[in-house]
Amino acid sequence: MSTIKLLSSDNAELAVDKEVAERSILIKNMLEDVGGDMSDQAIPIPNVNEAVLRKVIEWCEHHKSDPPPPADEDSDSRKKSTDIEEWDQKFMQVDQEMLFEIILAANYLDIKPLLDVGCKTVANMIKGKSPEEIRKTFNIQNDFTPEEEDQIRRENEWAEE
Amino acid sequence: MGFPPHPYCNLPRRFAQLSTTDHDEAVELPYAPKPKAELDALPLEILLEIACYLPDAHTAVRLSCVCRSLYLNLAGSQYFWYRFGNRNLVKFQRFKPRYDYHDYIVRVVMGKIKSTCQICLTPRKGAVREPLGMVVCGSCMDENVVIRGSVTKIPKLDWRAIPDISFTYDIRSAPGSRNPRALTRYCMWLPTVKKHVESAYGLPWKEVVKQHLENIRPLVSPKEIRNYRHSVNNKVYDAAIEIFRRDLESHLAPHVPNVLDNFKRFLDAQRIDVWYQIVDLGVPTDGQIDRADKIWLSAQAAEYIANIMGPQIDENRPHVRYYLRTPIWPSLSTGLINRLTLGGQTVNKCDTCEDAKTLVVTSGFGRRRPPPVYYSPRMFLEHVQDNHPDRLLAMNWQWTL
Repeated sequence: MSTIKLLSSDNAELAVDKEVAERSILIKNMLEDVGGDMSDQAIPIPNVNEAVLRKVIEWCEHHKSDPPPPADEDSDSRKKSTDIEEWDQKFMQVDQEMLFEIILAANYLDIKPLLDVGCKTVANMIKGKSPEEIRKTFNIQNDFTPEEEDQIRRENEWAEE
Repeated sequence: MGFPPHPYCNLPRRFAQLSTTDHDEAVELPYAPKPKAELDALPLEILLEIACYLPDAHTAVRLSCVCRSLYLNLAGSQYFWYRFGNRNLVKFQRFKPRYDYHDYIVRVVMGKIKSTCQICLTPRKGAVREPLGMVVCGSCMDENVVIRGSVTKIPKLDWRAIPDISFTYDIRSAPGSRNPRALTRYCMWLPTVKKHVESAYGLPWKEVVKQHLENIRPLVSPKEIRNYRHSVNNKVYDAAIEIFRRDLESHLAPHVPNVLDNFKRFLDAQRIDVWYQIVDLGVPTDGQIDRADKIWLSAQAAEYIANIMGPQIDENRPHVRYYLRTPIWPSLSTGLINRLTLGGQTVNKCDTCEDAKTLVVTSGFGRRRPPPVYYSPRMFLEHVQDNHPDRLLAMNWQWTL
């Protein structure tokens, strides 16, 4: 099995099986464009640091035999269920910064199933919470001015119930 | 003279300060460090992805009210609301370009459009439900009510504080039933029940169910009850077919033409019985154990097979059954007789019985001593079924037992 090297944004070189790396559509297309031979040169992944890249590779290794996701991006089945596999749930038990980094990396590397798992995890954290509870969960500061907040509350009073 | 501040942030523009020195000297990392990844700093496309997994428009609007950047990103994005509506809401209306979808969703969800369901935003389907003070369509009512009887069983809950809703819903007795029954029952609004339960127990709904409500079922909507029963019914059906294929088909196929189709026909007729078993089962809700587990499904499937094919006689050989007087018996006995008489021999004896040499299949040529017992072929099969059930399907054309 051939191996390729990935170069993270913080200059770390990670060797990874080509089959695993090709879970990323970005990398897959890149390899196809250059004719598949990147054994001597590392592929730069400028938006992803080493720690995140390692996590992404770990996910790709675990899911390397999964069937490819359906091509239809608006597929209802993909959007409706918020169930997450047990392994993925454990995988996503990371601090919030890492969670969002994984989502951003999955989006950048075009790994749809990983992006879905990340988004489902965040959606599950948001579900059933009031704006104040969402702020607490994600450590977000309420930066509305009192006037703005008052106006938004009037516009969206039902959302505060 | 410096550059004016950037209109969209407080940071001064730094184009003039860009280094003109050699990159090798100035840069250690190949790429500039990024700001910390946080929810309110995610790009709109990812927020949309996340919002697509949110259960309803309420939650999406709540998310947009969290802070300024999310409000600007979400509430201000017609693209977001249009796509959110299209993906998450039933029959989301398409308006002319530049329509204010956020305003539309807010108005609908506040119940300001009297004919549009506040939950699914389906136009012209909602009706004002007085006890709820909401505009809700029949389908969303169906998904969000729970029968009062199951709520009153919850210990610790002061269910009298929850308003009743008189709700008529269609309860189909079985799949394909031509007589759907409309029932009017006192129901309660499930989200309100959940809130009261959570506050009574001081735990999230899932935990309450897991720890205290394991035996209280069904605390789900009529729609969920129907879906669950359909799904279990199908699982039992599939399990029965699987067992039949594995254990019986090859043994019966030589005697009964199209045996699998025959079996399916009988199984279809049995489905109504399965339905009543499932009604007793109870629907699991969040965190509850599904009682229709593999063991239950296999047991049910085995029971329906026994109803059609007769009870199993030999523990180790599932095809050795008491087929007599079961729905399959007429086809099986005809098949057996046809097969056994193919060789032209119609007379034989049962060598293994105590009344050996007295059993004759056809009349007319019996022996004198001891006196013959005359059996018709069908009676002979009954004799074999009663006395040698293990040999019934194994007889060859010589009627050898």
